[in-house]
Amino acid sequence: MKSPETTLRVHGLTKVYGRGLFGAPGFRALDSLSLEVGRGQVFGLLGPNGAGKTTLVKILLGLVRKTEGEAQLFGSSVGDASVRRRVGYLPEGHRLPQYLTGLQMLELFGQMCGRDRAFLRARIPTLLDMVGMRDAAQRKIREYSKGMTQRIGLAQAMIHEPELVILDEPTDGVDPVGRAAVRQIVQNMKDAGVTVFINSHLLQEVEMICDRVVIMAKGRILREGSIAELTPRTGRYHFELASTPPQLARVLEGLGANLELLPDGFELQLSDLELDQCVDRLRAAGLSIRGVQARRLNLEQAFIQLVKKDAQ
Amino acid sequence: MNKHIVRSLFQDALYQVFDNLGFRILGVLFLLPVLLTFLVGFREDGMWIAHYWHWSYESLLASLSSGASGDPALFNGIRDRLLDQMIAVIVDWIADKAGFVFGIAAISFFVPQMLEKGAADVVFSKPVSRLALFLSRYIAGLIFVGVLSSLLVGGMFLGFFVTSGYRDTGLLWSILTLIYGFAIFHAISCTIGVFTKSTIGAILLTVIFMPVNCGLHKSWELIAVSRHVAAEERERKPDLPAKEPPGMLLSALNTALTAYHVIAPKSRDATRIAQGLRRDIEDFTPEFADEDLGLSVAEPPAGFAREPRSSFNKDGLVWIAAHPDGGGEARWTLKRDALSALGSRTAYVKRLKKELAVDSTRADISRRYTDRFEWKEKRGDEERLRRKWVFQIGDTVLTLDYDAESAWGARDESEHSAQVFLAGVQIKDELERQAQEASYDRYFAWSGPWQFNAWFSVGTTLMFVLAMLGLGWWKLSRTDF
Repeated sequence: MKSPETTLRVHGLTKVYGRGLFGAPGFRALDSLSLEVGRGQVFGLLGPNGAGKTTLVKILLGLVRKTEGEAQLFGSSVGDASVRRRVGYLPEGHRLPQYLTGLQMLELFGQMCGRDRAFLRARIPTLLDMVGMRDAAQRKIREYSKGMTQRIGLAQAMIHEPELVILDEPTDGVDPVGRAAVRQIVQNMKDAGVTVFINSHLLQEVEMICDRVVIMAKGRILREGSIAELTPRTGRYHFELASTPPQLARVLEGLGANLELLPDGFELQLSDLELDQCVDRLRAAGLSIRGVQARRLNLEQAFIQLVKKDAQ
Repeated sequence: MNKHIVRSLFQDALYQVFDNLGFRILGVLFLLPVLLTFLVGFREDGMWIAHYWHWSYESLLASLSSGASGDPALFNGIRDRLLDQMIAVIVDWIADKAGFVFGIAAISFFVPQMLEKGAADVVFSKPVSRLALFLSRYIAGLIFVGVLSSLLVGGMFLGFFVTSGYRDTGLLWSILTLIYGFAIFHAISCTIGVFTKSTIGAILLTVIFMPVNCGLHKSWELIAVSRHVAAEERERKPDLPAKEPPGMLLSALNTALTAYHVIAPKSRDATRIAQGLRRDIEDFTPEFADEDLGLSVAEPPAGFAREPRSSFNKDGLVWIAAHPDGGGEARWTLKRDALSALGSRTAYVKRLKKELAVDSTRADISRRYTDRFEWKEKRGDEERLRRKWVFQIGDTVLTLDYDAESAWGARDESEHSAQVFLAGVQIKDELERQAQEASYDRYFAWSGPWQFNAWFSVGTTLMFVLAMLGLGWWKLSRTDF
């Protein structure tokens, strides 16, 4: 049963490319993939090259036909073109019509998504300001730089106020200031209840933006969960001390492993039992503890670990 | 698909066309003959440039041929002939042939570019069906050629009207027939574009298809006409011995050509239809025509009316005009005599010279050797101006006789009227007649057997275009991007 709050749902989705003659097996880009994305979430899709991320997105947008399984957007089959009125898409390496100006392109794409001119007249200036393209809107797209093309591309994905926005490498070619702006735009969309589906290789950004993440490889889901769920504790703790005496190593002798002394304290690999003992020893030595923090893997580390494990 | 989507697709097509470099180049090239029609005027009295400089046709020819002057009759109707030639060259040849090739080269990228990686992702992810997007590119091509042919044909029509005072509304049909002709090749180009996703492929294959298709149809037309002529002959002469049936190979080839003709687009017919429609609009029926002799008279002499009881095959056709000042009349008579009854044309001319006591001069009619006599004749108190032209078609001698009161006949307007009338007397060359009789063009009409039927041609061609677009859409609907 699908939840009424579900924006995107795929079940047992399979895509096989280039099936040969006489039933020879082709390349299996998606392998019985099942996934659900709730309304208003910022959802990250990660995976190595060839994992099937783009295929999944293209099936959702009707660009690629599925081989088996079910794919739905807003409870309707993705084969129904009208459902795409509620979706905005920024493809990776997109090529917008070069014969149009940025303004013309936004007007035309807005109308193609069923919006009338009055709506677009009000919407376009706001959107151009949001992506910082107001001054260049009257120029032909062929005159734009890569960053400008990316920004106007982002605007076209949002022109019709979609309920789901799919962004494939949204910060590709965008400078650091522009990237921060993109993050802010995504946050604004989330605040407005828009579901955002991000496919990116920039894991730091995904970590900063996404509520939930799916890691894929070979057409299957390896892990799915929140950022906290995907980045486990490493068992390593960071102790921040008021001062770091020279005898600190002696105080901690025989406790834990891989001690690393730092200007503000130290880091140490500890079990739960050893953690209490460590605190006791430090207090007994008269050292003042300012803070203790359990170290986690970052998303990139978790991703690499997971993908390597899967490859083995 | 709501109205916003339809409007956006149409607008997109317009933007794509107007931004196209090929469109701009063709626009400028097509503007040149249009500007020429506004700048250079061909009027009855000669050629005008910018309504200021004027040359009579006689002086133009004299300067072109180092002082030699031509037969005055040559210049009658020269304006219409010149303009007709200009239209034929510019519309039927330059726009229809070279324009099509250039046009296809200029817009063949419409579909492949839409299917390029990156571009297809953007466009086909919109809530618009693939069929609508494909058709929008096809319509963009039709807009391309529609605007250009309207510019060329409409501009020339206006230019001829304003500067030359020539108004041939039938010319405007060429806009539609140019679009029709282009629609065929553009459908092929779009479909090839879907299959190959290559602009070069679409251009090359379409441009190669053009002459191949033309050649195959031409071969079929020759066979169809020769069969039709043979059938007509057998109908006339049932005693003719039956011909041996063709061999198996020839028969198979003929069947293949016929099948091809039925299925493939009949692009050659577009020009025929344009010319046919123009003739219909002009509603041109000559004042008199004799199919056997290949003789026609375009219009009666100005101010003259045909004597209804007169007959070409009896005492001759007679046109009469009453003298404007009352009393008396002028008449033209066109008469035929069997060559055998006169001996020979030269013998007849010699006899006339002797009888009339005047020498003849050469004054060819419709490029046919013609002896012209002019003399004065006393009839009571009145002096009459008499002229006679003698020429021969096959075994028939034709005499054109002019009889008018002397002063009236010598007036400028009477001379002009006579010259226009003579220029309208046309004789088809025997070879030309034979060629026309055995040509596909002669049989091609809106009614008639399917082989020569314009409706059949248009219907099957449009079906081919639809089938091509259907094929393109079928492939597109099965393409993964």
